[in-house]
Amino acid sequence: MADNRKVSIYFENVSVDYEAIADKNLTIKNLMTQGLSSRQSTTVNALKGITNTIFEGEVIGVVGLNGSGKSTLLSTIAGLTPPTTGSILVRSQPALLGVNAALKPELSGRRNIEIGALAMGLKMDEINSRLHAIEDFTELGQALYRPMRTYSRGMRARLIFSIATIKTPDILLIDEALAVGDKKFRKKSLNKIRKIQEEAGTIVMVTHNLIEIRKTCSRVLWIDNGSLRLDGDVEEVLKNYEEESSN
Amino acid sequence: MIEPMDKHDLTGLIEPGSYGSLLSYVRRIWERKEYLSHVPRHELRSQQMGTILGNLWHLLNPILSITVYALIFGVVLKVDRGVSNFVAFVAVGVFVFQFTQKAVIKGAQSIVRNRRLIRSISFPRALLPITSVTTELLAFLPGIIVMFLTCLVTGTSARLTWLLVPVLILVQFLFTIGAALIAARATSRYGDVKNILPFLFRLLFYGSGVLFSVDAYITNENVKSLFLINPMFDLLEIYRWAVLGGQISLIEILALSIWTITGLAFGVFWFRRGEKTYGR
Repeated sequence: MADNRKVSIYFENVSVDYEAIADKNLTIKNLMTQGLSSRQSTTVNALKGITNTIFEGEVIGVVGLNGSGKSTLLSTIAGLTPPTTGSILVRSQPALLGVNAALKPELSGRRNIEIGALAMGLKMDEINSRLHAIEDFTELGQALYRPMRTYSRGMRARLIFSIATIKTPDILLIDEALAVGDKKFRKKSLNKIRKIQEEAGTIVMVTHNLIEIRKTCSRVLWIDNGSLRLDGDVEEVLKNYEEESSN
Repeated sequence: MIEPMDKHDLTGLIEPGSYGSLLSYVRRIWERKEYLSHVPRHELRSQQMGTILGNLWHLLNPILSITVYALIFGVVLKVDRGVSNFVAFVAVGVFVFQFTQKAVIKGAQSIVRNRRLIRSISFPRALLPITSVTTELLAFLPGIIVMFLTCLVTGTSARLTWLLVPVLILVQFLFTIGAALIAARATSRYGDVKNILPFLFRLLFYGSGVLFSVDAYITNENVKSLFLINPMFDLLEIYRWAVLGGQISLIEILALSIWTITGLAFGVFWFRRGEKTYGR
């Protein structure tokens, strides 16, 4: 198949192992007899040899059971969890939206917009000229002047999504971040995702909401126990996935 | 090198979380200079939220601390041997030393404290320790004013070398950024560093002659040369020469220059090598 599409994300045999330090008391006795190795650790294989190519303009849905490695996959694409073996390449640095994301919890929503945008490299006058539109999009109203730690999960998700999409991202990774928003905001954010897609952006979203995937995604990856179980057309993958998970 | 398994063109792709060469890393920090001019000012303001005197505290704090030191060490303990204007001598020592101390200790925790920001937004992480140092630089400036006022009030008149103080501040700023970058990566990897740093600085505090004249108290030449290789001692000596007069040696200038250049270069280089680990 001749393929002229531009590669956006490229995985080759990506594996991620975690060293989880066992929650065991570090006693003087153990330290004396075994040295620092007495901090016993076990290795968790979160991803086992994922190979895939994602192109510009694709919206990828990632499905899988809890603990199957979906979040690790996004974290690896974002560069937060480097692969233990294999390699991953991206067209440009991705933005990652997670449910528990927060920038500076002690500061107000408004200050978080400013700090986030400045860290992303925007200029102060650019931010000021767009602040109104951003504030409107969050629909947070007076809550924007409250510390972010007082926000509900849904409010946090709205703010984070608004900040991450101030600049149209080339690659946007969404980890269940939309699931906690209310219906109205979900609709708005799905529209924004379509816009990003039209501008040749790439989106990878992890969600348990299969309706959302059917509405927005162009392809689905099914991650099972750290491996890529199935990759393909939305209906085909979801049908198999639903069959297995209903058992 | 990665060999593409099929015919997809992989040119122009990058590893996520990396910012290319060291030069482009520094350029990305520079692109965010508005972050550095905006966020520290806000951090300073929010430190005094809930106080009646507000930002006046940034000026009152150095005045109060200098009064306490002058009382205890000048009047009660009498360690002012070899110093003509002891209050001004201590003012220079304390303010200059505290800038680096506070900046490095805060910079060391900047990665750990901003994990959420790091996990949510992509930017060169060195921005965080540099922000801590910039915040402390701003807090240091009222101290400089108090330092000059102390001189004038206590009978040391203004001299031409005062004009060199901004250059010294810049050198100290760069040196401190290097130290803060090193401390930040070390702390993000080993939480223990957080507990060691205050003791290290207390040792440095006495080893830099913040409150006493090393020349007047240390007579052993070998011990004296130990002071000379301490960058904080060199820095204080040069500041005191510029503000109060006296003598400096070429060795002090040379040692401080070497510390600043190698410290900053190594700091940026070594901090960037851990760039991908800071989000974990």
